[in-house]
Amino acid sequence: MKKIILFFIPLFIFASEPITPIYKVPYDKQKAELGKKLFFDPSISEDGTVSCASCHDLRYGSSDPRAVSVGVHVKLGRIQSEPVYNAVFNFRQFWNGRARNLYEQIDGPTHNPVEMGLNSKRVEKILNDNSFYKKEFTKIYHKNYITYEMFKDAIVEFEKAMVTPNCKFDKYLEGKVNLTKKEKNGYLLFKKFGCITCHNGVNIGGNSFQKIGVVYPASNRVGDRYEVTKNPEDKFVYKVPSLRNVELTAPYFHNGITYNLNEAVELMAYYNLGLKPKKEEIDAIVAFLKTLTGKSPKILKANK
Amino acid sequence: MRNAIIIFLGSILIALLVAFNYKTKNYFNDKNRIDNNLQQLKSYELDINYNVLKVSFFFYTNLDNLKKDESKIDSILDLLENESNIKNDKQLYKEFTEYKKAVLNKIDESYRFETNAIPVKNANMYIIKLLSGYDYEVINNTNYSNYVNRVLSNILFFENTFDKAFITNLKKNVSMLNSFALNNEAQKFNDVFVKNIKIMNNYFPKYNYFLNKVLNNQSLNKLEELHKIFLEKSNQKLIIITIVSYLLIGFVIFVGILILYLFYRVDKENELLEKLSITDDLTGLYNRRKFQDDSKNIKNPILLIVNIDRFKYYNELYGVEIGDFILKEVAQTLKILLYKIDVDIYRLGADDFGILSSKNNINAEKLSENIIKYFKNNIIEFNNLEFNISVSIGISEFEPLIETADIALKEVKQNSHKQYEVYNLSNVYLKKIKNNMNKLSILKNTIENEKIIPYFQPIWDNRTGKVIKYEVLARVSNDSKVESIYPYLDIAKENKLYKYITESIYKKAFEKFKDTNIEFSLNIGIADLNEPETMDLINNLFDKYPKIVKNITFEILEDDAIKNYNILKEFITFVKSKGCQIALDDFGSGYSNFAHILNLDIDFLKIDGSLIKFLPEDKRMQVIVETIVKFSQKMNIKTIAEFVASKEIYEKVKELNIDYTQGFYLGEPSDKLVGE
Repeated sequence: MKKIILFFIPLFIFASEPITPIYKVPYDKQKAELGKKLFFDPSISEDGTVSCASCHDLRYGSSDPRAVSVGVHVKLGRIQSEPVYNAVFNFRQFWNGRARNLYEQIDGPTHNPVEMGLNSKRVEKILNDNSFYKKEFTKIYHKNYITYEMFKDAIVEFEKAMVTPNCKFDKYLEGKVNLTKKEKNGYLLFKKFGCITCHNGVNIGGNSFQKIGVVYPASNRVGDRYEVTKNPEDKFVYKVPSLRNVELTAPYFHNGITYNLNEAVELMAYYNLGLKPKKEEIDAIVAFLKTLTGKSPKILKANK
Repeated sequence: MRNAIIIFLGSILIALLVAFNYKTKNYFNDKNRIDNNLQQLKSYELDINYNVLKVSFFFYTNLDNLKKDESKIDSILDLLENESNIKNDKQLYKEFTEYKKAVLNKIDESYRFETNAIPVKNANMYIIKLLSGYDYEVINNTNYSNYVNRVLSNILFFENTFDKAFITNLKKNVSMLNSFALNNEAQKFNDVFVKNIKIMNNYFPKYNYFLNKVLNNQSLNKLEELHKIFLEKSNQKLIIITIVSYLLIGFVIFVGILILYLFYRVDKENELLEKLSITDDLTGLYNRRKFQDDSKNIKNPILLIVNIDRFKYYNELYGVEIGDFILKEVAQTLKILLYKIDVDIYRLGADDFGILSSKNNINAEKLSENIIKYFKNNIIEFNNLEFNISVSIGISEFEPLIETADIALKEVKQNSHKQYEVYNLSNVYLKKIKNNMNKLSILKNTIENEKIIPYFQPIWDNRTGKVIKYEVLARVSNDSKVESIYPYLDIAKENKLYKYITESIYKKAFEKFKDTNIEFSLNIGIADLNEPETMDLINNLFDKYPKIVKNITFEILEDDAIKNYNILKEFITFVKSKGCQIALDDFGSGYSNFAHILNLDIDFLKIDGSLIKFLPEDKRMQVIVETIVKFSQKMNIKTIAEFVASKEIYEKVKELNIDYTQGFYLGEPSDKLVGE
């Protein structure tokens, strides 16, 4: 069998671009609309000040413009907030991939005492005491009591809708538009330098765990894969972040070390490839990266 | 009961079939679904292998594929975990959990492979970039450059052979590279170059380790094992299903045979019932019902009704036993006589036998002659008694067959010189109508012209030899010819003329006897009693001639007395209160019932002519009459013998102590009284 597979491999050599265009994920519209309400509602937090949107700011590509997020009672988190946009395409959630899917991810910020700081029972009480949610949930789930699972389910449906379509690069891949010479060159360098080895697939990242600082060791190890597996090999290993909307999601890296995209590219080339690309090369790569900025999801436009 | 069994068995059968079908369908659905899922797992696992190899083969590739395989495998594992066939089977579930652990581990190792493969790939790419001159032109040291070239070729060997031997070389290369004295720019280059070589050095063993781990993972073997066990278990269940299906087929056959058998029995019984329904119990001939069916299905049918002459007589005098015997004998005789001819024989009524055939098949008249001749020449014997039976035959080919043949038969009975008659639309039927019309006109004429006249027949006292009274009889006087009223009675009743006859006779009788002290008897029938005008007449006459009322005797027919008991009883009570007497006429002609007679307060019994006529020669008759007389004497009822036509009869009548005599021998009915 293996031999056969090996035999066929050459046939796929020209098979595909390592990056594939974004696609729509089917979702339940009613639930997603309800999830949207929950997403923006700060009352579902310990002191009524923090909503999902507080740290997944839609003005900044649904991530936090602050290096670390601020939770209830103005407590500081310890890691950069990841974008909600296109999170559905990630193979794991969180920088260290401790959640296997969106459903598990919601537990994280909800229960985290420095984020929303609520246990499941508290969430249920808040929702069941709210006549609006009571009515909406009953309408959609046909149950008298709102459970924590229903709460998560609604938000997950909303997150499935949070996909940013029609970025320039997707259109280029679909053959609808052409890239500028600079952007094209940037993409070529992106591949040539080896960025593509990790940043590929539909999310241009988000599909493997990789070590930051392969060539030159990085510092400031926080929230890495080691915290989950306790395997020494997993130190400084993080889920590769998606590069979609990267133009909007500063600051960059797990510790939000820079707000400058050029600098972020330079740092990445240095740490993981041992390269010091020329300024024009970095400019070109950044120009390519900016073609990854998509349109706002339909669900956000719907009833404004 | 039988139907209930059939329905019950049928229902059970259907229920079993439905249940079996449902079970087997479920079985195959479950089996196919699980089988399919296991196959799919295998294909996704192979896809993981393929994707891992792809990562290994290319510098870069889309890593989403592994993610896709993982999510497919996850969802199939979820489905299988909830399959009751796996969940509820300890062995299968254990195998399944082991496999699940293995395959999840394999996926984890695949990701680890990727984590370790990418740095190697990047290092490779860097080396390729070097070959294209990137960052490389800055070096201005020939010895160093040459050595770098040697290292590059060493790396390319390693890269394309994956031979560990070249790794050891690489380690030497690194220390050699670091031993060169280099300028600043070259030192920087060397730094990165060495780092990349070290990355290859460091990551390649893990890269290789995880690649082998994924490709030679035990999970596929475990999956095969799981699949094998699952199929074995399924096949075990299949054996059960096969056995059950054989049993079910057996049951189906059994029920089928049973139902066929039950239907067969129902058929048999129907046949028997049909036979019973078309045959006559006594004679075994076809019955009237069968005749009705057959006559419709025959072309140009012709019917002969064979009637036993005076059968009623045999039946009454010798008892039903002999009557039945005669019927059986006649039936048997007809069968024997006719067995060669294409006819069917039926018993149509009490003593009516039907012979049905097609007109073309028989000569009906010749056949009738033969039958009549046979009975004339042969005697039927029963317990030493000999019966000389004769038959009359009515023949018809006109619808309705029985009725028309019956008309022909009646014709025979009325004409004693004929023994068979063929019904003929033009003569028989018209003749009958004409006859009736004729009678009606005569009757009407007679009534209008007061031609109904009373005749008087004397009744003699057997002890004194004197006339004690006269029976008043109606006669029709036409063209100087006086005839009996009897042939006109039916027509009179049908045409509401009866009351006029009664009126005429009653008035004339009262007129005749009004100034005498002579007793006379008047006939009264049920038709009179139901006629208010007649009852008024009687009242009027009683009032008009009060002196002679006590001289009147009313003669009542025995038949009427039985059939209209209450009306008669009322009438008798009434006339008795006026001083009249009551005689019961034709006693012994029907099924005489003594109990009735007692209740009716009768003064005279007139013994029927059928008993008197054969009195001298028939011993049985003598016994019957003797009994009647003794009974009457005890009840203080006087007896009158009718139809005393000869000296022999008269002597016998006297010998039997009958009180009075009436008959031609002593005096015929006449318009004059004795001595007038």
